Amino acid sequence: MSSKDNKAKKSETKVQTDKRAGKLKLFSISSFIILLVIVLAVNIIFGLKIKKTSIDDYLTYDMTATGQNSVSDITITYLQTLPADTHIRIVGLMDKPTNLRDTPYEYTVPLLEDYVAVSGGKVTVEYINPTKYPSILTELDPNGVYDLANATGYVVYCNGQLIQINPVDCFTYDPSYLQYGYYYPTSNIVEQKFTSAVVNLTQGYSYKAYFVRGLGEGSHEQLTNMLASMSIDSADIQASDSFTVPSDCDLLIFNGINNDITDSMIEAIRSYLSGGGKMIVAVNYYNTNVNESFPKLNMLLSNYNLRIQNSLIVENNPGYQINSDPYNSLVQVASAFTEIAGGNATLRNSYARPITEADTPYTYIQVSPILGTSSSASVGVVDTSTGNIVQNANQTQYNVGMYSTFTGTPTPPEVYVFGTLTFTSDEYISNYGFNDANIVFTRNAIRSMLAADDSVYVEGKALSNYSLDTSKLNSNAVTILTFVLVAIIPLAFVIVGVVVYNKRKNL
Amino acid sequence: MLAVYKRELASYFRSPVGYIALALFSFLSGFLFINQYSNGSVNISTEIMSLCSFFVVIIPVITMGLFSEDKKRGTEVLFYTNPLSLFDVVMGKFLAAMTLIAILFINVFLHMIITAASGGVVNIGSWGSVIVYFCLAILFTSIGILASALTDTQIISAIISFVIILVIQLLQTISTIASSALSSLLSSSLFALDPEKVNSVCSNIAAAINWLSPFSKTQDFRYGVFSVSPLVFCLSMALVFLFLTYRILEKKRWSQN
Repeated sequence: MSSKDNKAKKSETKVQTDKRAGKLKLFSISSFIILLVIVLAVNIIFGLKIKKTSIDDYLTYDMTATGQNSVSDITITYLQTLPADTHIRIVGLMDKPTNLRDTPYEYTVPLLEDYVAVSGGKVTVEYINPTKYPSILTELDPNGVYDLANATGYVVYCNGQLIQINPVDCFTYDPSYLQYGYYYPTSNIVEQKFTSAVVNLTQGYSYKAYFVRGLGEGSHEQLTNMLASMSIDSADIQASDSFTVPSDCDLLIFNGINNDITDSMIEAIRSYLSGGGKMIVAVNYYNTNVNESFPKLNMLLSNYNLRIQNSLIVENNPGYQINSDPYNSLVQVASAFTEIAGGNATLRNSYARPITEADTPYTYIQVSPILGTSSSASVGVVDTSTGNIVQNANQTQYNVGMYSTFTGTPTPPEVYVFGTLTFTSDEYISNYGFNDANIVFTRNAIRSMLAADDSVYVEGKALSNYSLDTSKLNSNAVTILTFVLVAIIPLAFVIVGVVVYNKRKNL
Repeated sequence: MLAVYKRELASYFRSPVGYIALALFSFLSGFLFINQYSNGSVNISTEIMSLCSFFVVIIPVITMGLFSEDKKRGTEVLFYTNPLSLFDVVMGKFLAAMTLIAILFINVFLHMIITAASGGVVNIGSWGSVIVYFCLAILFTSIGILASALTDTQIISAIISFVIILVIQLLQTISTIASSALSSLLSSSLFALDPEKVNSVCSNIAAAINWLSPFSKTQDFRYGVFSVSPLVFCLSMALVFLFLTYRILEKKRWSQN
């Protein structure tokens, strides 16, 4: 064979090899591209929204025991009853939070996504930062009546009205711990807040409650949340010499006042109650009010045959004491109020004043005890010179709560008086949550007075408590564990690694 | 595949690599755990999610030698001469790396036991975080293997996987920065576009970048909300990287370079 032939054959072989290599290269690249396209398509399809719902929404499961991140059946049923053309806009006035860990958004963002998933298009959630899109504020509030310029958090908007919700307010907090820069959250009321906002925007408020302010009382944020969830709007009214009860007032609340009312308030409130008004009074005996005997408030209450005593109930029966504390104890629910107490026979009471009947002789006033101590209770007063409690030796049963109404009247007044704040205070609700028996009692009592509809009431959801059992935790255990986990175990692996390396380096 | 798996797993413990990974992981997890334990409150999810952010260091250490070492020693020729599918080789090495990562996780199980014994809570969110840990580990290990197949130098392999994993970890931040930067550029006098349209475009770009982040997709697991799509995302993307690794190895059979 000539060299010319050899050259030609070689050249032919190279062309064949090139062709095969080219085909394999094409196959390799195209197979990878096809796989990549399939993978991307599958992932996009999962997130693709058809009628505002994606496959991903159907394949998402809330596995928490309390359904922390799922909308409850109560809300779902309510949303289903709304007309098909209802559009509830939930607008987060911020960029969508991406790092939720240990922020107030960690339960808010996932839950709002679930609202969208279950509402069948009636609820939408958007995140619009007003610094980037200033027009959103005028779009939501064209007349500027809601002061959105300073708003943070979410706005629930429907039918031209809106309710603002701050994520920080969507929790109850244990006041004794700090987290998030705020207090340690004990329960999640995100759904309660948003659902009550939806209910109140779609069907309007049924009643209005007024909190009397300016008498040294604490905050009433949690009680306001509870009222909102019962379609009861609330507002503050200042105590003053020119005090009048607004004409739209359905319920007047004195929550934890420390100072007495004014003279003019006696007549204004009496006039309000004579028209069938409802009132709740809650006071306790603690630090700032031990010298306050509320003579003017008692003057008002005497019209309803009730009186608040200026003394502290001391529970001497150990079976009633909570943690062996005579000032924090259980109280028995009177049989007439067991239904309102949700079937609970006993409720909590703390630093309480006795509530007694006044000496009013009118038989049309019907007074009922609600909550009573054991028959071994006594009362005491603080000796201002020593700060000690001087206890009365007489032991008997005292009432911590009483109820008064009139008989034979078409629109009778109704008055609840509590000698303790364990039914209404923010501190108590924050500590024990909205599902606590005392708070259930308050809710039922309000419902019995106002016939308020709380059929769409969503309970608070208790959060996991990650605290360790302090009885099993001591400084020695922590030191030993630190030593073992951070020093011994890692060091042991390093030593073994060095030994293995030395033995095998010459192999 | 089993033979490759056994060989690779054993090689981790015949060299210091496995022990270094174990020591590093034990120290980090122990430190994170004790930090919470000494405060009297332990959330295992927090520990696990913090450990996931250390994948950027741990995964390159574990995967850097998987293929690059064979290339350097010339033993990779065995893959091509043995009657063994190259995909089996890739999967064997991948499973060996995953086994080592699972062994590392025994530390966290130990912490769970200590937490439960101390009266703490190991709830569904903790188990959700365990799922996230392994999903992210699968994804990042596949990236590490790809990086190892690209070079014959372990250090370069580690750097490549470190950079890729770091970029993935920073996708949320990158999306925010990219959105802001683009917004500033388009709103400037150079383009002078309608600010609302610019913001709309930038928000969509940020969302598109964020869509690629496995961290943002899986963050609800730690709250006890389990969904299928993040798992599909992590596993399918891992499959893509493993397939690409296989194709890169396969290239040697027909490449003329």
